[in-house]
Amino acid sequence: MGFTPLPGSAPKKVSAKIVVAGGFGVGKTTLVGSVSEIPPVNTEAIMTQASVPHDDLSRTPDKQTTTVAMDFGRITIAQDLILYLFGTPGQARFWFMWEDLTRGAIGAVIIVDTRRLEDSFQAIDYFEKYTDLPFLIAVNHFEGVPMHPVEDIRNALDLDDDVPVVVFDARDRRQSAGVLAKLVEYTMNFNADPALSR
Amino acid sequence: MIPTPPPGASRRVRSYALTLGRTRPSLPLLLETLVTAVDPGPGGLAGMTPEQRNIYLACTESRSVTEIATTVQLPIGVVRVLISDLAQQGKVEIHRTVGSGPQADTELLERILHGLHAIAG
Ligand SMILES: Nc1nc2c(ncn2[C@@H]2O[C@H](COP(=O)(O)OP(=O)(O)O)[C@@H](O)[C@H]2O)c(=O)[nH]1
Ligand SMILES: [Mg+2]
Repeated sequence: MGFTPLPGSAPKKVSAKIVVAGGFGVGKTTLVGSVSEIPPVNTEAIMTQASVPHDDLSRTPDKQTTTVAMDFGRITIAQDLILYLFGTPGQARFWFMWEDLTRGAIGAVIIVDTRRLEDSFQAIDYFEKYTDLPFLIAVNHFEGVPMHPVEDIRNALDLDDDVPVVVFDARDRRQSAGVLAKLVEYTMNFNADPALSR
Repeated sequence: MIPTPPPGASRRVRSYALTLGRTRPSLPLLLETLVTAVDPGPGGLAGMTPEQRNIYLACTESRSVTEIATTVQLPIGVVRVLISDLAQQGKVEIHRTVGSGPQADTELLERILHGLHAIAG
């Protein structure tokens, strides 16, 4: 084998995760693909879905497995620090895996398309109601679509004043990285300021 | 989140039965948690089940739980249990994550921010 570390002595590494959410066709796959260093951005993960109520642990072996296609990306920040991106699967039948997707995340980017803002309502509701995670709204601007003032979008989405709203092009690697940077910056403020936390 | 068990039914016993007596690793196995195979010692890979061996070989370079599960084509829940077995046997190392909320490591967030700014230009 090409390595000789002793047990317990593998070089220390750390990872982090950002969740990319939003309605169908808003640009989740495009964002993950534009910034990720690994080409096959769509991962077929086999998940186990509870077919029995959560409290009946004795019956969990009866769970059924489902293959979930999800966007998966990786950015090596440094040899010892890896950032992973997880896109939420679109279909409602995969809601069960959102808890796994969001647990431990540093935050979420929720993408919206101004032609159909309502498609991303469910994702916004999820982060507001069921998680403590900081999130920002990234408006994926498709050419030929009129630019709306950010404040109009904030009002239409009924967002808190502190939630950042940024406009970007998901196909552009630099702009996508900029959106992720903005989220990390917001996360640092959010974690430090109890008033911002929900 | 976890409901209170009905009187008489000990949830501890039931959880224990579920994992066949396996205890949880000290670090949580999140989807993004990195795992690295370490020198297996004199016994080599002998004594590992084929699934454990595949998992071990999938992380000779550090890989996340999701990547390992995708490589070996097993459900993520099963892969978590097998990884924690391997960790207890000292065959793989489980790494920590940056963390969420107030527990997040600020210094690491700053390094991530710098890395992303470098890409954004
Ligand atoms: N013109 C344009 N097309 C885009 C942009 N972002 C995504 N697309 C296209 O819109 C479609 C849906 O994007 P996709 O990333 O698959 O959406 P998802 O369902 O959220 O994963 C794809 O055909 C993309 O190529 C953009 O910024 N401009
Ligand atoms: Mg997609």
